[in-house]
Amino acid sequence: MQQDKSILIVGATGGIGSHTAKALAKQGYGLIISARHLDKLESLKAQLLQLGAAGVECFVLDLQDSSAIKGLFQFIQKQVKHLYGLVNCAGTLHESPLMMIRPDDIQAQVNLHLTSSILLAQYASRLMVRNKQGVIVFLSSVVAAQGASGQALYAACKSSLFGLTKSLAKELGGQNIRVNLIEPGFIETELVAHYSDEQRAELKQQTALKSLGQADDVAQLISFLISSKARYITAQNIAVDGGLALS
Amino acid sequence: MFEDKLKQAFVNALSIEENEVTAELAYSQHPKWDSTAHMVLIAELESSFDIMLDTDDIIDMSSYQKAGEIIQKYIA
Repeated sequence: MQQDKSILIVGATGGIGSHTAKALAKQGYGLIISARHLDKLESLKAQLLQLGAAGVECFVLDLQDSSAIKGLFQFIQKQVKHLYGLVNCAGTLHESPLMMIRPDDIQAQVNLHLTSSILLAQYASRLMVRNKQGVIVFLSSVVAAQGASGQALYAACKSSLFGLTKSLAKELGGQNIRVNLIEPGFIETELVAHYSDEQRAELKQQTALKSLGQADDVAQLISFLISSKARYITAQNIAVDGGLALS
Repeated sequence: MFEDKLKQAFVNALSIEENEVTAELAYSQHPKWDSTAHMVLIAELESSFDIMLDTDDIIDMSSYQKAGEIIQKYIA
């Protein structure tokens, strides 16, 4: 059981976020779950407690409001004894041809993916340093390295997390804080619910395993990276894509 | 009390002797107060005083004396 370790999951009510929360709850971690809607958080909280979470705190947060991130950590400082992990699952898949990307879209995507990741890491690391241990996991996408027509803005924002991960791993390693990046391939979540059957079939054929990923496939890797089994793993970017990156 | 707590936070975070903690103690001037130690110091101060500092104040915290002035704002 991991009841003395608390993990913050941002974007906790999405597909990968909720599966990650459930995987960590089963291992007995204390959880702080954050997302935009309280009703979804409360519903998830009930499930997590049933699964064995040592405790669950909910915090409503819109990452477009950078100033609200400090409030999240003030809350954590009061509620939780020891913040051990941060998993940032928040994000939306912005799809738009280059000619149709508005300046406001750019700012919103940068805020959501990059600015929030930097600020979350900044505040989280300050709490982790107190105990000289911690783990940070960011979520990117195979699109970051491979590119995708119509996803230039999304890919640009996600690829920025590569440099962030490598740099923070170096900067925080001396404090025993590990930082890793996961690059999911096509994972069947709400994020890609609008994809047609034809698009899904095509993507399936592009993977080495000839199948699409599930949110739990990513959650299991996050769970491993959080655990002490991964104590010597940092500064890594790891794909969970069924071999899509080979295509 | 405040002074003792502040001094102890510096001793703990920078791993220095109490007699080294003076008003002149300054960031990057003392060999043990580098950017890594600054992060540890911020964590120590926030933990000791149960506060969460603004980034601007973290950047401004360039000396022991300045640290005292900044912390006072949060606990006043």
